[in-house]
Amino acid sequence: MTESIIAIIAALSGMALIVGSLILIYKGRIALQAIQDKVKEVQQPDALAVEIGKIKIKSQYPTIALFLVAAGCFWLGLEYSKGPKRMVSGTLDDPLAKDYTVTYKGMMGVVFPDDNGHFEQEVPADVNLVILEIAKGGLDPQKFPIYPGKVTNWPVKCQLQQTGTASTASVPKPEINLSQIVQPEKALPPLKTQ
Amino acid sequence: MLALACAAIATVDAGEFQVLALSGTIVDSSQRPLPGCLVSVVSEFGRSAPVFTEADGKFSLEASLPPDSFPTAASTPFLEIYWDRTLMFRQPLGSLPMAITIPHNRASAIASTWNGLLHDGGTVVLKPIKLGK
Repeated sequence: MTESIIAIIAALSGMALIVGSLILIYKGRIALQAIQDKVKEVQQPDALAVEIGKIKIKSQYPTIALFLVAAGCFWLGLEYSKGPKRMVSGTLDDPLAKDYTVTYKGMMGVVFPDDNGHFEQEVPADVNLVILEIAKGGLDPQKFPIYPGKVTNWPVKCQLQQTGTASTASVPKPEINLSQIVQPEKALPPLKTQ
Repeated sequence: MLALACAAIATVDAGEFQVLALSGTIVDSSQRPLPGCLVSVVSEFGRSAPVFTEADGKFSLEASLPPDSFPTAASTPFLEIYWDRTLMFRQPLGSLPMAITIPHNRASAIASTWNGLLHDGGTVVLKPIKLGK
């Protein structure tokens, strides 16, 4: 709830800054050129001066300053609108773990275990049950229900039925038929979770 | 900045997408069912949650599709099938033969066609898809 309110406030602030700056530009109260072109003083003021630790940002362009503040508001709104997340990680206990694919049932994308069998993906924090489906081509998928709120030791261990032996596909991989693979006109989202 | 605002509005409009329930069977050239294949529907707008085929080669998934994703459009959705990390199959959804259709809008004249289903949503059972040569 708090996240939603922050997201709405940030997004509205960003929108207000954009509209406000457009009105100010239209009325001539602010200009697109640098302040130093107009102000003939020894010490020229900055339209934007931010100092966070060792990072110093200064700009004499008021429109850029407004743009940066508005962009910051939008970024904040987008970040908070995503809602809180929780990392659900696991370890696949199999000699050929990296050959497997893991899906978090009902969620976007897939993850591939690394050489040590480790995999992880963020899920919404309010999800009570995550069903991991782990499979490779030719083998039946195996399901592992996980209750993230009750797990204390991450990553969870997932022991496949074929543990201890080299996993071999029960059905051989079909030969690739290139005529079955259409090239899309536009780029498609990747299979793997980013 | 305006583009960002438009993107945010477009995300909110995602509720207008049509949901298509899709199921089918994946077999090899010998008609043997293929378990462990990863199936998903993908278009330039996004990808459905991928699902594995079961021991009998069957899969079922749900895809949210934009109402204008007709088979002839550039943004046509594709059905993709992966064997591990290898893409084995990618065909426009609208080109796949259907076995059973249960459209949401049964009153429409095109309800049971891909055009109707992609526009109004519904349930589709595909004819078995054969992988390989």
